[in-house]
Amino acid sequence: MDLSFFVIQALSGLASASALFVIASGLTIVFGVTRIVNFAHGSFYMLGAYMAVTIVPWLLEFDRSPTLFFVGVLASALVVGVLGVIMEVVLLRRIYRVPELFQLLATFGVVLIVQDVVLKIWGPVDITGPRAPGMRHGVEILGQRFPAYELFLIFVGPAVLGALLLIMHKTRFGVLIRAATQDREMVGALGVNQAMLFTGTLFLGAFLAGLGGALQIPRLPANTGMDLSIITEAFVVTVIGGMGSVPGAFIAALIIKMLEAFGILIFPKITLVLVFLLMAVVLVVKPWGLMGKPEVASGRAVLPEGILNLKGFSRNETVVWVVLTLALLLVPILGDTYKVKVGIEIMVFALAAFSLNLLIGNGGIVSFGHAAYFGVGAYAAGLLVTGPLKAPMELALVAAPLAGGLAAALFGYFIVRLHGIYLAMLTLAFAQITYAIFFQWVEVTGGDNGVVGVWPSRWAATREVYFYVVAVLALTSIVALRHLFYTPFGYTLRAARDSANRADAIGIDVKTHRWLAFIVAGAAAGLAGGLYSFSKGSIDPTMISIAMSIDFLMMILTGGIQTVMGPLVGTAVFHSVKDFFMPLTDFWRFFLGVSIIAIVLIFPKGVVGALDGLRERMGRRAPAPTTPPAVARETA
Amino acid sequence: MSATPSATILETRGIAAAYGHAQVLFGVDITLRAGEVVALMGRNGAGKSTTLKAIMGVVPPHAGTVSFEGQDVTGWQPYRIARLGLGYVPEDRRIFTDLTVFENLEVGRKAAAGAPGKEPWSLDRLFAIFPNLAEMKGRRASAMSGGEQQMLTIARTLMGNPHAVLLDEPSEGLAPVIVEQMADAVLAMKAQGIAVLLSEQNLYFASAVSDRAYVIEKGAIRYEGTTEDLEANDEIREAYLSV
Repeated sequence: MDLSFFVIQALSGLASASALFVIASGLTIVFGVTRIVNFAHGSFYMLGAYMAVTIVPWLLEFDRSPTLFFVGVLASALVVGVLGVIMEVVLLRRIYRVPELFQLLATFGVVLIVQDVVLKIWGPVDITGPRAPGMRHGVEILGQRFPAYELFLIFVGPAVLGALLLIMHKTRFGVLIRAATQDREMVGALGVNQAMLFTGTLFLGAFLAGLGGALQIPRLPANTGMDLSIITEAFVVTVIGGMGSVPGAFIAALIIKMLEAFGILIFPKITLVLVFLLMAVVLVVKPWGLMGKPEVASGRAVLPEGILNLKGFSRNETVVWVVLTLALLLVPILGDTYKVKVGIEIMVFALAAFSLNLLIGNGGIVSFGHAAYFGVGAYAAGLLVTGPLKAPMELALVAAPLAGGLAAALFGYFIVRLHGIYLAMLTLAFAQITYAIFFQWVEVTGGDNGVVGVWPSRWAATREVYFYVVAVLALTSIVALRHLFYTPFGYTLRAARDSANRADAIGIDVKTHRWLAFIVAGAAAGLAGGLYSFSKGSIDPTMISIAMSIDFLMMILTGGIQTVMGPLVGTAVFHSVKDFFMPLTDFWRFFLGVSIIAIVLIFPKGVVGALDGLRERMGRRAPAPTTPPAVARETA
Repeated sequence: MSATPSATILETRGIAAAYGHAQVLFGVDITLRAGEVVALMGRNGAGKSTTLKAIMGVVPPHAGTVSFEGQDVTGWQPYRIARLGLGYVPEDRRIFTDLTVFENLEVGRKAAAGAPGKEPWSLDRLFAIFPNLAEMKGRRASAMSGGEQQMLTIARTLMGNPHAVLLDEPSEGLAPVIVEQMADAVLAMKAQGIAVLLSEQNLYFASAVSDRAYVIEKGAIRYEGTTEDLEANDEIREAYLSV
């Protein structure tokens, strides 16, 4: 390897960093002002690319000039900026005050909607954009050819940084944005209309995402997977740089892309692991990122109220659950194959969702990447059975929870050190990294295709017998987990959830308890994953995807986060609906997105929560009027 | 100072406010007339700050009415109330520490609401009252002392050309020298015809600057009168103000 190679490597790292910064800067600005982590930022990026591959070629018909190319790029970014304004006015405005978990979910609902809309308009095939006129040639650098467009990109990042700093420091809008990043309530009390400020911010943020996407078209065809691949990177950049900090995003993008450019020389396959290590180290040393401020992230509820009502079962409830369990156990005898399949899946997902609610509802630890542990369990089981070991199912089902627990122990060690939105984003980033590892490690995992032939042992080979295998393992695990809620361990977690500081002050080791909870939940999810792989007969990366994590969240939200048993009801409802409707429509994601938003806006307590509320309303007499204490008023 | 000293500029009638399930105000009636300085006295937790927040709409009252210059503003968002000409200086200062002094003032800048009879506040006029600020225009607010920050919050609010100002615990936690400056600032506002409603625990400060006083306890007004009468009334002072 000679010098010129290093230079070229550094230059392409700079170009990528520059492109990534343009996108991440928008995310961090929007977060700074609105405190919303906008999942749909990746969708804006994707829309920018699709707009550009539509608008730019049309413009170039008139004249193949660089000017028209960049007019097209800017026009695409402007259109996306307007879409950002629409999103702010229609959706975000209604959710500024809801807990962060719901905000993340609602913006993810937008991601799903945009995915189906893009598919409908532009189709599933990648669309290659035109190359920039005047920059199609290569430039000779130390004897190597380097694309001129990449050189141009290197300057875009610093130019955008400069422009943003100018806006932030020299315009009233920018000063207001910086003031609102610190204390938006006070900005309002000084007579500034926050709604206008927020709308303007969303325009700027979406514009930057769209610009980032539009600038990519000479390098990368517009495709339907762009949104989620970029959002993970943008999250990592904002977390490392410090949320709300534009210069921080610039530095972080630079570090990450240089690390990738040179890491690939040393560890060709695992540049992702390097990024992960970097993020872990930064967050342990500086939990708020390189240039972030603690007050930006703290002081607001991530969660709606978690589980409060811990009454045991009343006699009626016991009867209901016993009857439901018996009815479930009769499914293989009375039901058809389809019902057996759905029954198995519901039990599997119920276990995963229940374990997730141990973290969220009980522990206040909002995990956005629970599919990681589910998927690790599934892959551990699947690979043991199909791999060189040809291990039996029984061993695989022991390994699955161990693997899930181990992954949770590793990731959880870092995760429990953080709080709030940083914690949620870290869980998501870990899940995405796990996904990428399994997706890219083709020799072992089969990559996108996964591995087939994950069958149960002979004695459990029929669906009916396997149903009972799942029933025994999943139901006993759920009962055991439920028991945890009522042990001192469960109480301790709730104490730490409600006030980590006070729990700390009375001698509870908050981090260790959270870590243990994370491991237990990870192991349970791993077991669920293992059981799932045998029921499907295969493993594939969808089991670790963001979509799977969101499904788990939807299950506990459908059931109600504030209840112990809600996740089970939620799983049954959600999975039945999904399994029934998904084959019927090409727009499943669209409808799922709309339902997520609807749940967040109208039905935030879920089914069981709503039933509890109804029962409370029915059972309660007219509410006592609020009476002021007797006042003896004296007047001089 | 003002043309019609008796005209009511701000009035609350029976406002009640709560944080979640914890009700703090149980029907507070306060009247502020144009050009006067009124103190709202009471112990910690009596409801002083909440009263000001409820007036400003920061904690929207769930019962009662707030009217400003004859307009019912109950339930309005804070920015709309501020635009009518009501300024708010919170107790914990809440200056924008990442911004410079100049930028902090810029956030507060807005045109005078209503009749433009008076000369609008300019930086020069502000710096005449707060000479310290002029010297540190470009400094980051985080590098200022507590007293300087307190002056900055007042200057920031004045940049909005308010007709009346809510001043939450202006003397709290300040060195005696700064308390004196603060009193001067309040009197300077009064001299400009700006009505001031300030919450205060310190009777000496209150009596030095205000014309009248209310005493609040457990979320309701227990006493109202001139500051001289309050100073003379041992019984009320013992019951509601002494620590």
